[in-house]
Amino acid sequence: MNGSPAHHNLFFYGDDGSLVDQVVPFLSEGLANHEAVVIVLDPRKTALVRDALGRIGRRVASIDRDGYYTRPEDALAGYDAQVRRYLKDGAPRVRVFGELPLCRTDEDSDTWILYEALLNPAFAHHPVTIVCGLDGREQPDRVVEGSWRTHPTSLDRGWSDNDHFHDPAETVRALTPHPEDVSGLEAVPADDGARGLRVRLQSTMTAADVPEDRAHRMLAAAGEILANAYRHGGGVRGMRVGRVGERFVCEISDHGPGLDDPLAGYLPPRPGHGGGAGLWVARQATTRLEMLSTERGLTTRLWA
Amino acid sequence: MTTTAAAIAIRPGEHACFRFQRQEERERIADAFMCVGLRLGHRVVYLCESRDVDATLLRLTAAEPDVASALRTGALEVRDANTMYLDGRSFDAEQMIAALRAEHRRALAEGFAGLSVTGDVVSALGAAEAEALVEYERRLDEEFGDATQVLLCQYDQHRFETGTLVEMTEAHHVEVSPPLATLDPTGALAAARVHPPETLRLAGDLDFENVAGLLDYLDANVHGPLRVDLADVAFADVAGMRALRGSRHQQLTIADASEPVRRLVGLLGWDTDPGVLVAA
Repeated sequence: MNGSPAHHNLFFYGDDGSLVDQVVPFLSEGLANHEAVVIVLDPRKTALVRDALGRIGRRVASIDRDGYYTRPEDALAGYDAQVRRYLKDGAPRVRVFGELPLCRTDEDSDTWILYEALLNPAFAHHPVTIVCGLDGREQPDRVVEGSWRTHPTSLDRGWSDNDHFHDPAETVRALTPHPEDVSGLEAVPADDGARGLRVRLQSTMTAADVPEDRAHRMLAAAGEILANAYRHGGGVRGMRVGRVGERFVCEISDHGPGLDDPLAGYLPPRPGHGGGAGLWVARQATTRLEMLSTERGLTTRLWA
Repeated sequence: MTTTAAAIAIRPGEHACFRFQRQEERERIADAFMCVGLRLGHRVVYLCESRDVDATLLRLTAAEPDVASALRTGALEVRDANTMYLDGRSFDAEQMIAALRAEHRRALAEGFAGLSVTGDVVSALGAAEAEALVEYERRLDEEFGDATQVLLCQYDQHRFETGTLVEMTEAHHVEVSPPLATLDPTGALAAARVHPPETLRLAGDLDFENVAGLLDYLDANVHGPLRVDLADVAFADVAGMRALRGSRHQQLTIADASEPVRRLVGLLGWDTDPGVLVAA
């Protein structure tokens, strides 16, 4: 094997024998270096890898991929928190072998390719080695193609730079759907100040029977968007709220120059690196966050 | 969750105090205290000197519809401190404590959830010796701690020696002197100094609109590690949380936190930040 795996690597395979042959030395090396070592696989492959590792396998933490990968925002936050804790507890490095959940639709595939693209900037500052297994037997072509675009290093007679790798921000941009119009929202007068608007939002959610926990999270998200609007966006131009199907939507517009960063709000905040954390909180606290920049300003739509 | 009422960082069961220099500060803090007491369903008693009773009634009636109706129903009473406490006699700590106890029993018997009392101590104590005052405050602190009682003692700074003021303040676990209680001009965020251990308690909305006063306070008063209690913070945002790190990025201990604050601590990565200690 030439070279060594870098931050975020792709291992494409098609049978269990190849999986075991690659993963066992990779994980063993991490254990020998006293790194924190984690596998994120389905139960069958978890057992397969554990068997092959033998006794030392007890020091490998395992996560069930099907329970773990609910949506990219949560997986990123969960991973980041786990990595930070391992490092705080003294691990010199965190080594992960993981596989994406099985993607059955094009939408699923795009969602998890977007996640793979985000992993690059999200973990660039952490001492981690992530190898993503891609089982050609189970994932659709869309995931296979997307995986080649999102991993800077891959295994091909040794670890080497992957020529198919694309700029993560551009990949995220291409995979982010353009926000569709929603109708039926009610306009709230914008001259109330942030606190007044939060009170309005709160009472509208109470009237609309939004469950308490979801309402709390929506308030936290809207609070961050309002703070951004007043501090960077020249103030609030308008707010619209209301139910859309099963969801509650709050849309906030400002007078600002807009935001042309497809990664905005996706990257975990880093201590001492200010800026952008409000959008991260807003993305974490909602089920979906959409942004639309026009010449009139930025509109952010939050889904509870 | 967000409310529009002014915050005060005093909890049921506490014996708090504040020192004031200007009448506006005093009114603002006392009014916030009384409104919180009324919201708790307490009988609220405002004690002042006999010559101030009428002016205070007038001011409170004009202040808020809630206050006016509370005066009518008897939920709020403005009383001459001397009459209630001393009945014209000289200072006697035990008699005063007995009077407060009786007042508490009466409030509960009349169906109130508790008793909130605030007043200028000097007006009640007349010419008592400073030492006796300090002793009285210490006794109060020992005697009262039931969640159905809240006491807020007011001290006019012009009427005491500095040393006496410090001793009196130390006899209270909770202090809300300006600029603590008046951190934020809108009243959305208020603070208290709680001790021991020395802790800054915040109550209300800790957000980008309200942090200017907090930042000034931290710059002027905190020159080492900071310990905060954020259990009464109803709403917080990233800008508010970051203000707690101050311009000096001092070591921060979060002794207690509300649910919204806990969520932010995790999302900001403070749970593994070496500069932040979060109590479980």
